Amino acid sequence: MTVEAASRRRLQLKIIPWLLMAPTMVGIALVIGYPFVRTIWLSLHEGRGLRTGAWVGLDNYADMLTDSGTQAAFVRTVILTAVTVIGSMVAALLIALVLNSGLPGMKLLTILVVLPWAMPRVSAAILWKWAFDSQYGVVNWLLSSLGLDMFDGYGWFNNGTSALIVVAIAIIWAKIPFLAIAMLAALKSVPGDIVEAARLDGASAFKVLMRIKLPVMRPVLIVLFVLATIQAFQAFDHIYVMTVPPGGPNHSTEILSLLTYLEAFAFLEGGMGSALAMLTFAVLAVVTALYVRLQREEAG
Amino acid sequence: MTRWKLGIAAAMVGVMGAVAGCSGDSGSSGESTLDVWFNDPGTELQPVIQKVMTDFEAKNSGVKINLRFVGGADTHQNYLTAVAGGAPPCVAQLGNTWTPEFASMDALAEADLKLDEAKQRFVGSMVDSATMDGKVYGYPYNVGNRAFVYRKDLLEKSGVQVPKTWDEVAVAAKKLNEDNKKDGIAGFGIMGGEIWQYVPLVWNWGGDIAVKEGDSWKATMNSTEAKAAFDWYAKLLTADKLSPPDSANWVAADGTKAFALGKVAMGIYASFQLKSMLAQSPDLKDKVGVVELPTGPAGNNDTFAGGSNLVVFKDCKYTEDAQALVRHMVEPGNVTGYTRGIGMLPASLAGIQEEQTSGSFADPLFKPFGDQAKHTRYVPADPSWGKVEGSGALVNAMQALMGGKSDLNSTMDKLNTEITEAFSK
Repeated sequence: MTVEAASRRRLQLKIIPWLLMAPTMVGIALVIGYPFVRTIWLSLHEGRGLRTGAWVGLDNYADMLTDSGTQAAFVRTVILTAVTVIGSMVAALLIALVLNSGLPGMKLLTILVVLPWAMPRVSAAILWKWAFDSQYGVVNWLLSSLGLDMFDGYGWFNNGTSALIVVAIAIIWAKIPFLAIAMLAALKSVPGDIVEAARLDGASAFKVLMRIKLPVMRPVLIVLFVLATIQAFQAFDHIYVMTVPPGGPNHSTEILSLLTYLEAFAFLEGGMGSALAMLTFAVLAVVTALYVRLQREEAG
Repeated sequence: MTRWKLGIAAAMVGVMGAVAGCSGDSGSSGESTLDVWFNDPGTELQPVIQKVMTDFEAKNSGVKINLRFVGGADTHQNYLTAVAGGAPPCVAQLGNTWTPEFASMDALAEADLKLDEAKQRFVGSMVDSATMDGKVYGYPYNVGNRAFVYRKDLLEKSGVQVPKTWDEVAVAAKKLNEDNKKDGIAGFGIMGGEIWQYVPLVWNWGGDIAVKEGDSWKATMNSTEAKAAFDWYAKLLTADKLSPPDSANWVAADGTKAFALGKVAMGIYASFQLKSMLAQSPDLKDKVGVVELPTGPAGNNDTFAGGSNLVVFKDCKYTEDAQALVRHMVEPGNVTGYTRGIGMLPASLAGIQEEQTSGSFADPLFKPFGDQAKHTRYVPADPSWGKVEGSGALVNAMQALMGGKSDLNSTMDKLNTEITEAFSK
């Protein structure tokens, strides 16, 4: 082989992978890259319906960060995310432990646990709203039947705090199936002989969970935690369906995703809507970066 | 023949075919296809609309209609996208609060209907919704409004007369509330999440939502009258406790359900809501009475008219055919099949008259809705009104008052600023 042929071969080896990846990269650039750049561009302009208005620089960002409504929505989003992620992770872990217990009937129970996953979130949100209806809801009926008279006719959606509690319950309920099944799979990968050995050494079930099972499940738990956080931060449908007006009463359940929607599609302020979307993106980018770092540490 | 020669021959056949096809579509043979978007009325009523279209096609052999039923939360966005993309339908049934927005975008063709003629033929508030700068941009199609619905049996039992003013409503509702407390029946059906319950009260109190100054609208929701109207409605819940506390969040569906379940003694309901309540609880038919809405301190009982207009979009290539189709669709006989199905009225005065004499509104329970239709108004015809509605500002203001922690003046000032800002953009 001549020197020229060898260098041509080296060049081909460098180019071919790029050529093979090109269709996918073009696809990604079209469906992710363009909308992303366009959103940044729009966030620097006034929005007028579907048209891009005048250039305003960072004004939308300044307005967004100084607006008390947005600040309150941000805090609410963080709290709702924390509550629903922790709540659903803990509940899913407990369910996964039960499903992994080897007791009879666990296969049937596993199917039942998966059922909420098959339900459209909007339909489930409407059902939860009915369940917490002040007059005809089953929750108030149950609580008042248990002697808690304060819940007789209690209006859950009358103030932001109780409305967000109901929304959080509905979100946790919807999240549990996926998390529980994923955790069950992780639990199954815990080596049985190690658990057996620990038990023979007198370790309690709690100690086995904390010292053996959870450390083995750690990589899966991290992935689930990050995915759940990203999903929770983008929660929208539950608030939109369950509160009146969406984000009410009187703005008290507004979260970032809903504000983004209202700005973009109710006020038709595409500029401010895009700026809010970029704020969500920035927060989630940090969460994702954290995830990548943790994964590297795991691998290292 | 070699493969490339075959390819060229095939391509030429294709091009010739395409050219032949183009000449057919260009309309030179007098044929036109009209895209029509109509709000999805449900599977039972779709054939009714389809028949109106088929009848038109039969009478106009060169016209083909491509009917599409639209609906859902993104309908407004669909229209915006279609207009921005230069491909709107030829004819559309457009909600009356959306009409000014699309007219101001210069997306609609002027209707072949003069303002004077329109006012003589159709409900005035519906004509207002289709008018901009003295020009009419759509034919009013259907109209729906609210009236005062009450339980005859409960009023009789408590010895209460049917109230004629809003002040009498408050007094009667308190008595009904007390008398029926043990049965959990609310004196008055408050709906904090439904702006059409309380925004029209501003008119009854002598105020306005906004006034036109020059070319633009200026919100007047901080006027003494508007404040008094909102305060009156909020206090039905906060001071008089005439409905369950949750009713601060009730929307029309909640209020309708409560009445159908026999848990409300009086309330403001639309004809289609009454139809739905009677379908849910047929035994209510003998217990319910309907009258026009009570009057406010200003002496009027005006309420909002909901409904739709039939519009022709400017980008339609076959404007004449489209206008002929609209004229065909608004003929009372072609409207009533649809309006009867959904429990609303035709927007034409002749259609209302016909419905009240021999149609579905001849029933004494529904006749008052036709009378009330003549006492209706339209919201400020500003293209940004949709934003005011969509933002939830009016509901948030009412809920702030119903929460009992917000001051009336600051709440109404804030609301006024929000509406003014929406108008100015």
